[in-house]
Amino acid sequence: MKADAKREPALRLVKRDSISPARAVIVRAVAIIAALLVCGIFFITVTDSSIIEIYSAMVSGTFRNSITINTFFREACMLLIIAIGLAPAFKMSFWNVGGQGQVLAGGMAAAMWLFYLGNKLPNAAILPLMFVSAAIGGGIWAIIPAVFRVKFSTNETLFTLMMNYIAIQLVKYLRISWSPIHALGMIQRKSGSLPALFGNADGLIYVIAAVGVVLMYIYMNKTKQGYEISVVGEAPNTARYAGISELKVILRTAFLSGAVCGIAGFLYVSAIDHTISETMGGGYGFTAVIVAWLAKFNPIFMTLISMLISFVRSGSSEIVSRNTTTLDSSIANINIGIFLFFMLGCEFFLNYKVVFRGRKDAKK
Amino acid sequence: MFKKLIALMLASLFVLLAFAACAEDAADTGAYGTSGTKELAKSGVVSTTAADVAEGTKKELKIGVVLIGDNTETYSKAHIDGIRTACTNLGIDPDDSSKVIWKMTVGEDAGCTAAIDDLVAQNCNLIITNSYGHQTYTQAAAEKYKDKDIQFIAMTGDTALSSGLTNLSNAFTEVYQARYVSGVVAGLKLKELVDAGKIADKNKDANGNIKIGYVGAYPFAEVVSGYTAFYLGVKSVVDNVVMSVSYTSSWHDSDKEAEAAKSFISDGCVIISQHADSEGAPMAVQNAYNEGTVVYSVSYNVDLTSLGDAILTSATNNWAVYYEYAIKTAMNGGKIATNWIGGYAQDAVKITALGKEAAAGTEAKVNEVIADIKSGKLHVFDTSKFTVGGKTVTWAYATDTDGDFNYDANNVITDGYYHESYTQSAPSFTLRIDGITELNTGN
Repeated sequence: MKADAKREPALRLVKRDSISPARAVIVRAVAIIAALLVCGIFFITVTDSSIIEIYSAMVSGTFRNSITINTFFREACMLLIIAIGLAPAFKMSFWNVGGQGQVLAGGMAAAMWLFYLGNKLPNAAILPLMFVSAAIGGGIWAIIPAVFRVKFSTNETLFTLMMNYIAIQLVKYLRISWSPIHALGMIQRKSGSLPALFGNADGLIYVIAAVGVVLMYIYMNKTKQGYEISVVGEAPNTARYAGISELKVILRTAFLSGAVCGIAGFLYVSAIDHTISETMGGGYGFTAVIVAWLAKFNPIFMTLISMLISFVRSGSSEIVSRNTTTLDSSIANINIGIFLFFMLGCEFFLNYKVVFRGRKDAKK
Repeated sequence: MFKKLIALMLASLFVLLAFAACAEDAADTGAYGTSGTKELAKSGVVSTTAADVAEGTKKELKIGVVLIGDNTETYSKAHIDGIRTACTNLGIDPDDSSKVIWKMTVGEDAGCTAAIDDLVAQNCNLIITNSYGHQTYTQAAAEKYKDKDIQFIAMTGDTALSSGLTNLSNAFTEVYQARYVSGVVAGLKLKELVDAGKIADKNKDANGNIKIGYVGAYPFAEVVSGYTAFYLGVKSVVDNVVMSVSYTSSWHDSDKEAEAAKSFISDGCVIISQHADSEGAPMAVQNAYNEGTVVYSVSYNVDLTSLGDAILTSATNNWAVYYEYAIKTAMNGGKIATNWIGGYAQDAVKITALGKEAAAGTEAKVNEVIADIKSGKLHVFDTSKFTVGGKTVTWAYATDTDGDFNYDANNVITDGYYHESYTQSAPSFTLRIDGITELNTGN
């Protein structure tokens, strides 16, 4: 018995067959609480505040007044829109990490109309043009790697990643060539700004995010095309056997994925930034990858995770502005990093269980 | 389907190209003239200092500061120091986050809007942005929050007046005066070198003029005004001098600035000055000096004499003068001037301590020049001291009314000199005078 125990490692991992929904919720809740604790401890070490002050600052920084609440929801919505764009591609096992580039490509297409025709066309004409060309621009940015994957079996992860850098350089080039004084600043034009809804300049962003989530849910779960996506993603051979054209599905889905990201770019240009810059979207193209993956493409989870990340972001920046002599804005990224680490970590524990040496169920 | 899409895209591309072609109108000339005169424009700037601010109903002030850099970058450091001094003088603790909120390393992009929104959300009622490129975002925020009781200041900006917004202000210093004085310091050193026979043939161009160099950031008026003033300061002491200007296309790029300085040094330039915010160029000069090259540096923003003996002085701003005025005005419930300007007369500009190698008698000469600037006896941009295309300039516009970046209104030359920072606080001088060569376009 003793010799037997020696050969057995101290702990090992066993894949779970399934986990009850209640248990899954508990594991996730524990992960979020642990992440909050680590964030709090991190802040205690870098500031003079107590843990209560830290958490109350995070809450008040997010919900202090209508401006902060609006920022909180807007950031969550932008993250969510990009995440629902990435979801269908992931479900098809097309690893699109080019969300950032697709947002920029859409933004460039929209900004082009704004820059050249923002004084010449009325809103009713220019906004649809900006919207459609942003979707096409983002779509093209995603379909290029898709074509290469289908025709030449290139690795789409690397390809979409590299497309990000091309987009970033193009934006830098446009900023210089469009602006006679080198720093483009805001593109101040008579038209091309998204109108306010219910007196809120970001109102339409909320509507687009809400409609987008519902439409994407229906598309992925209730339509033939959505079904084709999951078949191609999970069982390419079955897809071939069933007569589904892999080429058509991959190209169509990649285009759709990029187009939704491109629409996010349109929103940045027409409603939020009113210009383009390579920092547009603040790296959400990458964060959204984790949002989509964590939520298993479930729209409700995507919404919740987006809101959680937006909360951590605004809460962290509040703590930074209370301690500006010692902290700077990169703190928010550190905290989002801590959260994502725990969220990804908990996925591991949902799929595997840790078995200690000598425990009964190890023998099963 | 895809073919149709591609056709559609190509069509829209052609349309855009056509528009782009139309947009490139020929640049209009007629921004200045060398014969005849025009009526002097109306001055749009004030130079009130804190001492003159009337006491009023005290208002609870919360200041929000948006900076392009932080303490490690000389331009922003000068602003941070200025605001801290002003706050301390007015009894505000600059480290109390319920009184002053600092936003450092904010880019000239949408991050600026986010920073300002956050400051507004935290109830700041005086918001300052310190870089020229922040201005469009500051202006948009002033427009967005015009119903709130918030004053915005876009430092070094130039659109407060034309925007028509009453809650937006611009401010600048007459740092060109300090540049001129730093040029005099360089000129005196040059004269000493000439008298000592230390100027070799490689330090002169084909016409026997001594070569000096200037590392600029961008070809903006702010930079052109500065290097022209510096050159005229040098020239007021040593007449046979020519200057080359090299743009780095960045306000702060240590490597590019060092590279530009090294290129000047190998070309034989004896004095190298700069309008860029890193220590790249002065370090390069100091290194060459250590290796025995005859070369000296006149820097910007901060005292760099600690780098070594090759550093003669720096032209710098004393931003505290303006900030104290602006903060005190806001505290007393007043309206901050739309365009503020201050020079030697307001103690808003100066040169830093002279280096060890500065020529004998520099201090006395510098004080004399400063006194003449203050009294109005000496004007930096005296039109009898420079020419454009070989001719004396008799009138020059200083305002761009149609947004094409060419001046088309408001003459500022009269009484024999160019009135810098006269219609608005930001510098307007963009004449390219004889004796100065731009080596690149800064694009």
